[in-house]
Amino acid sequence: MDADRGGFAVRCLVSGVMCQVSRAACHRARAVLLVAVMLGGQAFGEEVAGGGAPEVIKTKSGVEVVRLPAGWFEMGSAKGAAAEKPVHKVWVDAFLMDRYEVTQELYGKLVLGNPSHFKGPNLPMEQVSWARAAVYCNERSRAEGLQACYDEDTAECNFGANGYRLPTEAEWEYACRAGTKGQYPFEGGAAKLHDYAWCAANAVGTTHPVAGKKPNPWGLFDMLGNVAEWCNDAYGEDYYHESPARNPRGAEFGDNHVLRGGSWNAEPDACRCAYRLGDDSGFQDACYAKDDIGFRCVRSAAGTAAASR
Amino acid sequence: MLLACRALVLGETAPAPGAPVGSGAPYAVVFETYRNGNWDLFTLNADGSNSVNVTRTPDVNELYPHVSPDGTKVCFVVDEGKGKSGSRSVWYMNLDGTKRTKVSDRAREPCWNADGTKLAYLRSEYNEFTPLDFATTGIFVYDLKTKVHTAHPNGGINHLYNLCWSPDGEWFVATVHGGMGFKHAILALEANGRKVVNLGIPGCRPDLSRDGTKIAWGASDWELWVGDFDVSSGDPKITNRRAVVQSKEPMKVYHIDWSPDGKWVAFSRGPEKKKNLRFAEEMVGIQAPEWNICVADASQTNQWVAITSDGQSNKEPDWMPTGAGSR
Repeated sequence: MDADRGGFAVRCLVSGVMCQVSRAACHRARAVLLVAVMLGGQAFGEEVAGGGAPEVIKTKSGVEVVRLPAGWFEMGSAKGAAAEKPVHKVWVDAFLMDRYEVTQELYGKLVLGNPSHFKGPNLPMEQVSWARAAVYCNERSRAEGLQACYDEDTAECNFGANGYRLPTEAEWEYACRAGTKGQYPFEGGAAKLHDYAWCAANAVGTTHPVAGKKPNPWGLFDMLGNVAEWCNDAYGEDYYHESPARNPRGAEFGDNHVLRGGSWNAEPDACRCAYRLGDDSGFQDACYAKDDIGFRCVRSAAGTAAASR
Repeated sequence: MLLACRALVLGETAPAPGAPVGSGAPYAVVFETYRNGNWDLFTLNADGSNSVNVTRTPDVNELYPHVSPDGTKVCFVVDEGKGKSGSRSVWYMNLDGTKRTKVSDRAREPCWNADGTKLAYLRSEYNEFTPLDFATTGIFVYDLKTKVHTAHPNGGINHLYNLCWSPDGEWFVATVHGGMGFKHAILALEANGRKVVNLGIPGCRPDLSRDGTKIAWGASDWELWVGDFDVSSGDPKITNRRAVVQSKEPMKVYHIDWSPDGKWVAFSRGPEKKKNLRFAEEMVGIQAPEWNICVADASQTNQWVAITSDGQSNKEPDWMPTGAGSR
């Protein structure tokens, strides 16, 4: 698409692909695609509000979230480990995702007891088990008058609730890729990782304040590096062979949950968009001591109106 | 007395024939138990006989008992209220239930010094209540005679749990979680100074023997270990470490405690309720269905017997220097 003469160049998301075009061209392209998709009988996701990068919203509890459009993307990597194959097309519904990893300051406002090894209000939470991350999601939902997603006795997630939860693995990778298709969501590959992520090569043995590096194309910070992030899904090594195309929610059984994004002590290969890892969920483990694991929250965009509408 | 029961085969959930535990343990234990909607402290002979409720307070929750070295008193915590508005305080009383005395509000995990004249405890980290083990800050020492509370000289102490005082009075041992610059460790802390030594052993909840030469701890949810607490070269170090109980999922083993003669260890054992998000059964004040008190021969591995069988959240055993029936 060519930018219209004299128009402002904006980042335009069309069918999962980010382009640099004029606002008018962006709207035209979307309209064409919407008609085409509707004529084809295929549900199409909502637009990115404002026609530019996804909208950033400040929630009632003061947390910045990014409104991500629904869409298709190619999940996995043909070049990665067996667990990342096969590459398969996945649809995710629209959702809101935390712009930053949950910090110790935010966590401490809602949940007592900061188990983090590296202390600092703007540092990401770590040494936090999947279960404690889920508890935080529930507390934040309650603080904002939303329905808690997690049953705290069974750990079941109610995806129909309007509150916060951990992202599905598909949501996480969709958000991390931000419309890109490579190993990393930026040009230059692993050689440019240090511009976007705190990892083994530059983190000097510790976590760092969130948003200290460049965001991905959708404005999400630290999707790669700093702390690996819990996903809601139980981990299945072979899950991609059986994953449904629409809104996959992980393996049915498994003691481990999915971790994504790599961390301050990870090599570049573990900081790829498609890199998958499963780890002990740490249910009830008072001694849970993994200082490279944190999380961020999401909630369904259903029923939430974009600010510009 | 002889232990009349027989050892359980590892992994079984009900008593079954096996090798006998061995010679008798002429002592009793005190432990916390949840019955009829309330936590109380019970004593029980090590052969499982003579169960006695020593608190008998249907409206008050007593937990985390530790008996004074002379066997006359017990310190414990009291939980009151619900949720974040609840509270935990430290108390002690005679083992017959008389002379109940509050030591401190917002306090937890007390332990005795060797002559029973002082109690050390941890201050709760928050005004709001949480049963999280590590939500503590500072060590404080309470003198039973003068009623004076003294803060430990190391003002940087935080996130300790399961405090234990060495018999020579020189060291505390405790677990630290996400505090004092540590990720997670079992520490020895100078009782009267600022030195902190990472003992380099995995897990949590250390306990020193009455003669101060041995340490026991939970190496994981599934293993209890013992070793020598060696202070011969100055800083404590752990040598000759080995497993004394090895369990496997879903049966956790926790709260190991040395018998007065150092020949036995008591511990609690029960199933992990896998999916509860908030708290673990092993935490103080968290109900633990099907958990029971067990006694093991400390010189062997997996030679143990359950001395309770009702599974009423029986946890945190602490040895008494006499039989429960001898008081």
